[in-house]
Amino acid sequence: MIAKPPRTSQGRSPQRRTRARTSLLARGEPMMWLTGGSLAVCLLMIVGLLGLIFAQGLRTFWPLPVVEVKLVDGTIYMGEITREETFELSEQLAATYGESRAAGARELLDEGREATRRLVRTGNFDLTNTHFNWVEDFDVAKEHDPEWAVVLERRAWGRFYGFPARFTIDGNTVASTPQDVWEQYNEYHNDVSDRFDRRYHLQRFDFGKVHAKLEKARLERRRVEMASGPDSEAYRAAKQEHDARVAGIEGEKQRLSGEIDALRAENDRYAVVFTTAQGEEATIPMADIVRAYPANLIGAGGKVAIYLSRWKEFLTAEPREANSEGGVWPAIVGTVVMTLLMSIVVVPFGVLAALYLREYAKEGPLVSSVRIAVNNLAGVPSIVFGVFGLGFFCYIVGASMDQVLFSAKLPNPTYGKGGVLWASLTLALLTLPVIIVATEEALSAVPSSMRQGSYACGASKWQTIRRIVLPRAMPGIMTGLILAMARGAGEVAPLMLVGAVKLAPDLPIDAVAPFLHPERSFMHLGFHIYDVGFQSQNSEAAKPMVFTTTLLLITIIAALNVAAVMIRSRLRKKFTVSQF
Amino acid sequence: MTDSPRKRQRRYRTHWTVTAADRAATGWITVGGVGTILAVLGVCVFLVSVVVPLFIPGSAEPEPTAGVPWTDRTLIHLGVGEYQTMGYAVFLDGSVEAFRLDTGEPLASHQITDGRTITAWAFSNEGEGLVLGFDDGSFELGTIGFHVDFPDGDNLGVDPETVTMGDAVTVENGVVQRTPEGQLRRLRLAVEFGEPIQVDATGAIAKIDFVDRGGSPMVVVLTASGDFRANSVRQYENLMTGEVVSQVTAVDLPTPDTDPAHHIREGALPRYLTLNGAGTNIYVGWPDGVLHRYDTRDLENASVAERVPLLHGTSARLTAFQSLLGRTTLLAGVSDGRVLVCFPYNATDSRTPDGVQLATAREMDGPASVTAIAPSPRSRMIAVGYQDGTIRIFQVTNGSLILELHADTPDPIEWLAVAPKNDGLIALSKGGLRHWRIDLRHPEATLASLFLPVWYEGYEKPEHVWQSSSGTDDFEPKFGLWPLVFGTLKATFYSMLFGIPLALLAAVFSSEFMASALRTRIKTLIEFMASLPSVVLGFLAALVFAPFVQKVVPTVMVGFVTLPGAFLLSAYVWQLLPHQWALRLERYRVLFLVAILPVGILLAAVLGPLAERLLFVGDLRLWLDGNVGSAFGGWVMLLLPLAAVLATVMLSRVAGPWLRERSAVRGAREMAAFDLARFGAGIGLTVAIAAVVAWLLGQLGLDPRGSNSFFDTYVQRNALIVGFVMGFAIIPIIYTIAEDALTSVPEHLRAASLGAGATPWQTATRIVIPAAMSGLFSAIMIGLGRAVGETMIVLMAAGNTPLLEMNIFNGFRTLSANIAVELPEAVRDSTHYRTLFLAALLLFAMTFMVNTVAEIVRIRFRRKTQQL
Repeated sequence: MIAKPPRTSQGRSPQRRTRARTSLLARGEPMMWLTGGSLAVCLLMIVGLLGLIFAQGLRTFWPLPVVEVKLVDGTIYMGEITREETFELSEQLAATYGESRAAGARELLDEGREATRRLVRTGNFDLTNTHFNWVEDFDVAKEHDPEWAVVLERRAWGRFYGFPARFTIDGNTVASTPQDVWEQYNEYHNDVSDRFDRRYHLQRFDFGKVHAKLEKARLERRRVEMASGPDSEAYRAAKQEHDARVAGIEGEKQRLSGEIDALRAENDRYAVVFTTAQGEEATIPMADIVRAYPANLIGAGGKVAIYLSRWKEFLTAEPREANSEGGVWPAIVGTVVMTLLMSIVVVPFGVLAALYLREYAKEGPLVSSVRIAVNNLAGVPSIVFGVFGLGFFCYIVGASMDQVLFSAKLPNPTYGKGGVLWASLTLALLTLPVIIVATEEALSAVPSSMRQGSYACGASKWQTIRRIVLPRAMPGIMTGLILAMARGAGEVAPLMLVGAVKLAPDLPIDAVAPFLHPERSFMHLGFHIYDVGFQSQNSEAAKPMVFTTTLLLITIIAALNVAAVMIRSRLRKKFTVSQF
Repeated sequence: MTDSPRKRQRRYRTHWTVTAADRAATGWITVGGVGTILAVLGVCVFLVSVVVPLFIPGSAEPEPTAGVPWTDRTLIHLGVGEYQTMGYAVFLDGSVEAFRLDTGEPLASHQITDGRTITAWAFSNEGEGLVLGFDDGSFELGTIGFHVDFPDGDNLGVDPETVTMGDAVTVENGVVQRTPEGQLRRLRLAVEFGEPIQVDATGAIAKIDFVDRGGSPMVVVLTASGDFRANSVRQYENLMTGEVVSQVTAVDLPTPDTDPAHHIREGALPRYLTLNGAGTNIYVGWPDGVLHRYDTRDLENASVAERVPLLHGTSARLTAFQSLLGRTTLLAGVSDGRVLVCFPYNATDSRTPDGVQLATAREMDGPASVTAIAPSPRSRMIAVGYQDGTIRIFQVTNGSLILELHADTPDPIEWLAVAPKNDGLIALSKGGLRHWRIDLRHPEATLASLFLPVWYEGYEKPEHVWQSSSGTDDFEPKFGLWPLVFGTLKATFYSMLFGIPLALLAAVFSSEFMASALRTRIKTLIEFMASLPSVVLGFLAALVFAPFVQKVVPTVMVGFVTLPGAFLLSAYVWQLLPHQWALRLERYRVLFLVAILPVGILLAAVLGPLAERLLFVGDLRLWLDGNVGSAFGGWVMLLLPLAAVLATVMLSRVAGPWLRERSAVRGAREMAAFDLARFGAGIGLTVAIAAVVAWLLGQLGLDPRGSNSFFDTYVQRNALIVGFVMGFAIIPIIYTIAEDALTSVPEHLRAASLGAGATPWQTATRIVIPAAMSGLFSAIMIGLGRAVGETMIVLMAAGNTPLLEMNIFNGFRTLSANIAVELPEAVRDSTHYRTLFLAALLLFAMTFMVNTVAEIVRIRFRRKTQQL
């Protein structure tokens, strides 16, 4: 597009004409560079953002070495260095330091250098009441990586850093050197973990089933009570039956409790005694330990193993510690169930609407204004749909359903509150315009010659649509669906109103009949990011988690987008072949 | 061929299943399609249907009454029970009578006094509490109300079967009703009084008031002889005997010398005595409108803090005096029909010793002299009775008239009582008892109170405030939507300021000056960014970006100048290259651009602290707090962009023609050098203009700092951050649509322009951009629509305080974030809930309008390009 340079041969012609040279100003070089600069800035921001998420998200689970830092005032911190920063050391700040620290600060101030500090994750919250400590570098007297420093990830209280001192079974010490303790730990850890998982499973699922039975029995009694009154014969019979059933269920409950207690008692036999860097002793039951590793002893292979096992935990486990640790499995399930339900609802309706608009309705001002309106709905803020979902689905439709179908459970709402069904319906409404527009485009891309050909062969309109038009438009509809799914999976604002919660005790899909529970509130990856990143108490510890969740979410969305792009390109190819 | 046409037709007749399927499909698709479209459009209808009741006026339904079961007795209080079946009256002779509202049948009677005469009384307007003062100088605290229980049918005194739903049956001491759940509900009069407490003073009690203060009441008495005393009563139970013992600490209140008409000691006893809710202020009022406010925060050293002439010496008189729910706002009924609403506020330039001043915030007019005021026990609503038998119900916060009712006869309304649930009203006049069931709906929200400043209780002046809920019951909800609309506009403005130029310029570059292979890839990347969840951006903005920017504010500010500066400078240097080289390097321009970027950032990092030292006394955030440094630096920062535009215009006017003239005869290198010099001069000129104007403005005493100006205290989550990140969020949308619009300009137009000798730049600016203008416009509009409704980014990065500040370094709250924060907690169908729906409707309307404009422009654009 750039003007070709003047051919040199012309310069050799005998009559040298002064040719009007392109004015420098006309080339608009500065403005062109400014436009290019804008693009470069945009790209930098995009690449920087993705890079940041990737770097932070992938880094989170990598085991770091454990450092022991001794400060000039004698304080000892041991833990992982999470980050480093420079800060401005002012006279005022230096004046607040104690005597032992002031010297270092003074020296820095006199030299006019910038002070640096590091954030050490010291853990041991149960002993120290902090998760993190800042260490100013000028304060450091001694620093080394202790050989036997062990990092513990616990089920409660966050991480623990310490040196293994003793391994006890039933309170009797069986090992007392770090090496032996570590061997003992490795010997028993898997068994203890298995027992813990079994116990958890019993508590969570088998107990859950028992409670579901109890609730069912209670509801049946209540239904009879509501139907024939509390003084009636039928109610007395129902009550008797209820009591008999409850007695049976209680027996089952007893058995489960016994089993659980046995497992717990067996696990309680094992404990590890650790000494912290400060010299305190802490006894940690084996059952509390999720994962432990001597950070400075394991080699690259060990680190990779821990890294992978953390990823596995992240993807398959339930969250712990107010969502700041553990996994996001419930959020993944919630997101998937919600998105799938949404797709099941949105596709038929979107396609119907598009078919009507494109194939059946008569083109005219009405249809084109409807089309404009539908297009515009794609730009209506998602929170507005959330407001609609809450007001209409939860409070009107849901509350009426409760009145009619679940009156026995009232005043506890069943459908009259946020739930995965209402969330997916809300998002279906939100993504409906996407599907309609995509389907319409796909339908209009089917050459009319094909339709006419079909009619000419004697096919009816419906036959034409079903056999000729829809198959050709299918990739386009699929593209629209995938884009809608990507939008639905990433949308958070409306979900905050219609059922996404920070911690859902039960998954919307599980092994208790009827398996799919559309009334349950659910966890969602996007909402998880908002909640953990924004509402968490211990935001410093939660931040890496948020980055990983973010990475997971945008990977899912990117995968959906890539799929859409691939289908679109296949669609294009197909049409180039099928065009006459 | 030999077959007859008829026969052939028969043979190939369409099978009936095909026809049926076709019909069914047509029906199904039509119904489903139209239904779906209607459902989608139904969103708007539903929002409207929730919002509309906000603006439906209240209504009143008269209930049958049959007079009252007493005659010629002096009434001191009238009350009504929760279910509006029973009322009670307290008489001066110390008896309490309960009666049925519909039949007037007396139900129960109770005698409080034992020979003493009641001389003063005060009834709480929230609960059932009251205090009575007697002629022997003692007072008693007590409660009168209704006891509700749910008895089983056995010992009721009536056959339970006769109690049907809807009507009430008289039983001993009360009334029985059947609830919708089928239970029996009994209401009985309950009167309870404590021990009389003797005031250590002479004479009968003339005026009395009390406030509960969470179980340790304060009672203020004024005796006929002018003793004015505050009593703090502490009640505790004797653990041995179970007896309740009261301990009283009494403090004498001063009665300062004042004009004889208002001198308590001189026998000018006030007509009204009222305490505020915390017991920190006592008001005494005379009929001529003079009000004395006592500051009793420190009871021992109480003093008259303020003397207010409410009626300003007019001939009107005070005829009724009450305090509103929460007892902070005073309601004064006047003989000319007005009701004055007064409350104290913390005045900035106060004349009073305690810094508080009483203001008459609004007046509510009436047809005749005010005879009775009844404040609602649960909301900021009052019923006012007038001399001519009219009753008006007002919402006090915004002064709006909710209902007007009339008694049967034009006699003065003597007593009014509002039902505890705000759903009923009884009025007593010479003409008899009237009872209405009222439905106030949503008086707190009127169009005016939603969008205009309202003088809220305790505020210095009318203001726009959004404060929807609080922990206490007597809280005044403030539904001013303007701060939220303002926040939305602020967020949109800053993000558009950042997003539009970047997105449009980037679109121009990639569609006009870029190889198409690279363009497709870049476009895919940017399109992917459009589907990035905004919660991710919000999280990054709040937890990564905001803390980072806070550390390097000056660098960021300078970066706005150095980044474009670096690109321009490199362009001028590029021009110095010999033409052949330039052409050869042309294709690597993108690489150069990417390489220049760090240079610009580095420059900003170097110049930022320098600018901070020169202009902002070495600490920008300290400077922003407004206490140090001069206005000069701020003005320079503000004026720089304007000065740059001015300098460019001046230089192109002056130097442009001269350069153009020269370019025909001079060599390209020489011209490029001239141009570079011009750029340098431009920078110098810009700085000079900005500095001079800034100096002048500084000399005039203008400062860009201050809460209503562009700069003020730096808050970590602010409009700058939101502008950045939301700008970033809308760039992909604007870019994609703008790029589409530019590339869809037909190729033959470009070819013709280039063929006629125009440079690519000239082609872009004079041919392509004008042709694509409507497409670009619709891109901006769609970006605008997205920015208006964006929720997660502002929710996380804007701090969420509903402020009305221009300050770019402070936060705000948008409509969308407000909905996300408050709707989950809002009670269904409450005013708050409906107001939030109104906010959603506003968002809907704003985006729908913007998008429709964009869509129409785009359709027009498409038609135009097809014609080209």
